[in-house]
Amino acid sequence: MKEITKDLLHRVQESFPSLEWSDTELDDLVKPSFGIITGFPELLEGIDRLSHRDLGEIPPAGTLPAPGIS
Amino acid sequence: MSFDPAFAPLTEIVARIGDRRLSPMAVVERFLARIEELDPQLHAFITVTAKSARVSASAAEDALKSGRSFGPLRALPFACKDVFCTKGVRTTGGSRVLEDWVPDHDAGVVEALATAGAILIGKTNLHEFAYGATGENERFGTPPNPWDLSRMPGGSSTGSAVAVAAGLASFALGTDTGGSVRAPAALCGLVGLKPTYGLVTCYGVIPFCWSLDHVGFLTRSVADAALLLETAAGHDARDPVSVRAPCRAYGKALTGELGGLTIGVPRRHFFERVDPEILDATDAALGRAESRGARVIDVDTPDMEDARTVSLVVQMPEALSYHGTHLRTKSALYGDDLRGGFALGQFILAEHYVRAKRMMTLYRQEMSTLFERVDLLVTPTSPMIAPLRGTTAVTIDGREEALGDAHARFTYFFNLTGHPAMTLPSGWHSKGLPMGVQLIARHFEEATLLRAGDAIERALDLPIRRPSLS
Repeated sequence: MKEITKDLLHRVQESFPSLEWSDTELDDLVKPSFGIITGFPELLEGIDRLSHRDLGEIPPAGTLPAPGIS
Repeated sequence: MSFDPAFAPLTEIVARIGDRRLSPMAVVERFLARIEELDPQLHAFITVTAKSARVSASAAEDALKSGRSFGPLRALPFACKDVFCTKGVRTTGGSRVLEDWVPDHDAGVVEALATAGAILIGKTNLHEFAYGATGENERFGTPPNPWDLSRMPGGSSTGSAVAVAAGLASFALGTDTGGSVRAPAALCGLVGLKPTYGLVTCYGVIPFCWSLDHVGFLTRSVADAALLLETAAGHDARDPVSVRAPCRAYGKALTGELGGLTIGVPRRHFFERVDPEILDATDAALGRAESRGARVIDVDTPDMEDARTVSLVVQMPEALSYHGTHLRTKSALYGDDLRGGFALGQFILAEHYVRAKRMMTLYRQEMSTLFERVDLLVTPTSPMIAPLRGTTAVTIDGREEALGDAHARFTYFFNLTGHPAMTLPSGWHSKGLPMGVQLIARHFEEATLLRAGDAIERALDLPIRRPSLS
């Protein structure tokens, strides 16, 4: 997986329906500085790891079944 | 010590009002006076609803005098995080974006509490739109921790925790998407209950992430939390994830005994990189649980390596989806950290999101298997005590971690799985700050969770302290 770049994010933003993000915000995605949550590059590494997991036929989570209902 | 409703158990306030030893107006006035005196330094409230609280207290007095019943939460003054819609009272989300928004309806849980007789005394401060664990708020001020004003109270239900800990409200509502009720409750010496996903309605609550959002309660005791859950639990057709679960008389479950229960202790992950005094306090709580009849065994939880990624991949696109409309028109009114998170949500692919939601199912399945062996899990609530204000990262056992990640390290997983989880005080740190222990139970087994929490609370019998504020 290649390192994420600001140029790539710019091109995605221009080519897909998207909200507008400032240069500062895109800079922060490429090189996080806020320290509140995991940065984007680190998150992409995690997503890459997830992508290699075989989840078989497990469906997405929905509401919980009420007690006594299986 | 004379009776002071500002720090009294809810059950005692209710009993005293019921037999006319205490008037609803006196209770409301006591809390309003404390808010007036202390909130300028605590910033716990965004809006104080003094006028309507007095009107409600007066109506409660009339009902009492005429012998009419007015609900099990008779005249208890409560606060709610400013993400709960309140009819005719502005609801800001802690943000400039909704600074002047006045909803025309009450959130489902606010409605339920009011029907039961509780009186709204104000709307509490929070990390903007509940996005963050530190409670810093540029617009409405940053609340300090009542136990040490140089430290943070945690978030995002920051003002709710501060208000209850400082005796400015008898209890408070919060929301918990990754630990936003439990973490500040632990850091402020309170009980924080996050019920099973779907048990308490989220109707009328400004969402952060629909898949993970839970309404929760901040109280001074487990019995208080049980009383509130009895009132608030129940199906609400206006909330698509609300579940038809039988309501339980949770208070009756509080026997003080733990005989027949097995507690699992997940030492891997949940007992790693933790302040040693918090570990000791957690082990002491486990020892007290054993003394009350519980069997305690070590267990392994599902592999946590990907859990934080799963949580973020679900959170950020959902948050962006809700805020998209406002972002198009009021983008500049959002704080920088929040906009940064939204931008991140924009670039997560749909397949990533679906995969993360499938991981949630996997985690639920793995936890169900674990809960075949045990009735409860016990962990520390937070790996650390309240940090100094301005802290952005912490280093524990040589590993640096963003503060928000550290705060939520032991809590967010149970938002992914939807299990009921509760923190209660486990002791006092040598730095004079509270520590918390977290209990987790099977889906919809709040009765077991509360029974265990109450028994541990009684067995620990911690000295009653009040924060020194003036």
